[in-house]
Amino acid sequence: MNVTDDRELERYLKRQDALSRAYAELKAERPSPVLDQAILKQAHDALRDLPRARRMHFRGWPALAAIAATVVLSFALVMRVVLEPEMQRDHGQVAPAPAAQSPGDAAASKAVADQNASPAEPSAAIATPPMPAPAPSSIEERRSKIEAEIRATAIQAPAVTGSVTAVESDVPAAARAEETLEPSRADEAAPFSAPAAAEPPAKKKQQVKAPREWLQEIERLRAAGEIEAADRELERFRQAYPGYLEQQASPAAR
Amino acid sequence: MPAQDDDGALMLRYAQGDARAFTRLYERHKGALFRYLLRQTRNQAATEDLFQEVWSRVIASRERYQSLAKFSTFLFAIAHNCFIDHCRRAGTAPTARADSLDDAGEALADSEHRSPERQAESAQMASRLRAALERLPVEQREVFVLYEETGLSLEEIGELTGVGTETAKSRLRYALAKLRQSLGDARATGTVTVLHHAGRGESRSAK
Repeated sequence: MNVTDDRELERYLKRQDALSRAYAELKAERPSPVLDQAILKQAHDALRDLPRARRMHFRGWPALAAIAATVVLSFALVMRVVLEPEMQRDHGQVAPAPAAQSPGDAAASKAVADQNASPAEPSAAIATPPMPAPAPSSIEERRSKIEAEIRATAIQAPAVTGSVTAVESDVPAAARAEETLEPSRADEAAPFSAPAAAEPPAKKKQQVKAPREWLQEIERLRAAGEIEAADRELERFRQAYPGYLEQQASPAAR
Repeated sequence: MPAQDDDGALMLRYAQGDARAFTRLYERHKGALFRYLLRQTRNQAATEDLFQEVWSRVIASRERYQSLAKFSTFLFAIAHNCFIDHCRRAGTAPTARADSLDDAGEALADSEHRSPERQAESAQMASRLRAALERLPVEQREVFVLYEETGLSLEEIGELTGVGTETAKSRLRYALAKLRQSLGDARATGTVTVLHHAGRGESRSAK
């Protein structure tokens, strides 16, 4: 190839050559419409299977996720149904609680038990709350420890006749009472709250006075002329034991 | 050539199930592909078979397609391979099909001498160019046709035909020289009567 060829090549590559313009005359040749239709049909037909495959692909994982979720939920439900009564039974051996009674009734019956109990045995006034997870042996140990502490406290402060410890989950009404002890009682209750502090926050105990004792205290306040304090205490009492007064007043309830 | 920037996007859309994207892609490239195959095979029936085969392969490869190169490169690489396969099936080596350029040149020269006035007819010009193309060696013809039909660069043409850029450039140079010689353009020494004869109604200096 000589220099002329190179120059012509450069001109041709710039699309300035006569050959390119001449070749444009040949660009009228095209496939027949029949061929067009055949290929387009083939292309469209090829897509028919595609959405089905895609649909299967996209349908696949949500279906699997749904099945997995169903299995997990079912398992969790079964475990809850099967295991929960056993746990409650275990707890019930330590501190049986009357299931049929309302929270107020439960607290009231405890209060009755408090009064019947001997002052020498203040531990009878303590209802050990059901523990969520620990083994019965550890519950027993803790209970005996608490009882020992209570006895020691009772010797030091015989004025304390007893108190009821309640757990939020067992006595919701008692849980609504934000403040259950007066400052002077807080120190006395310290031994009771100590074991509770070791427990999870959700199971934190709240100490509530026995209803009868509380009512007597309100009466004392009223008799002493502290009407406002008595009303305040009465309001607290109503919050802690809703319906208790009405129940006491109604002869049918007895 | 139509804008090719979105050819790859059209192919990807087709792969995702958009049939209209394929139709647009097909409309854009069907002519160039058909003519490329027609020039290479020089046979209408074989061209139609190969044309359908190429598009079938495009359709089949839609899910594997990646828009890394121009769609034209992808399409004509398939066409190139289909043509090679066709030649193997037919028992003819593509490289052995080059006719004598001298024979073609003589035939064209004779026709020019016999009827110079008719060279002005665009149809005849096209026919002569087609004849000249058919007499080119298949590799040279392929580079020329690809350059004319696809707008690909020599580098891309070399890539899709499996040769280096310089080889593609050399083939094109030979093809141009032979075509000029065949059409008597060389004899015209710079006056491109081809244009005038092709119906442009003008005579322009080639240099």
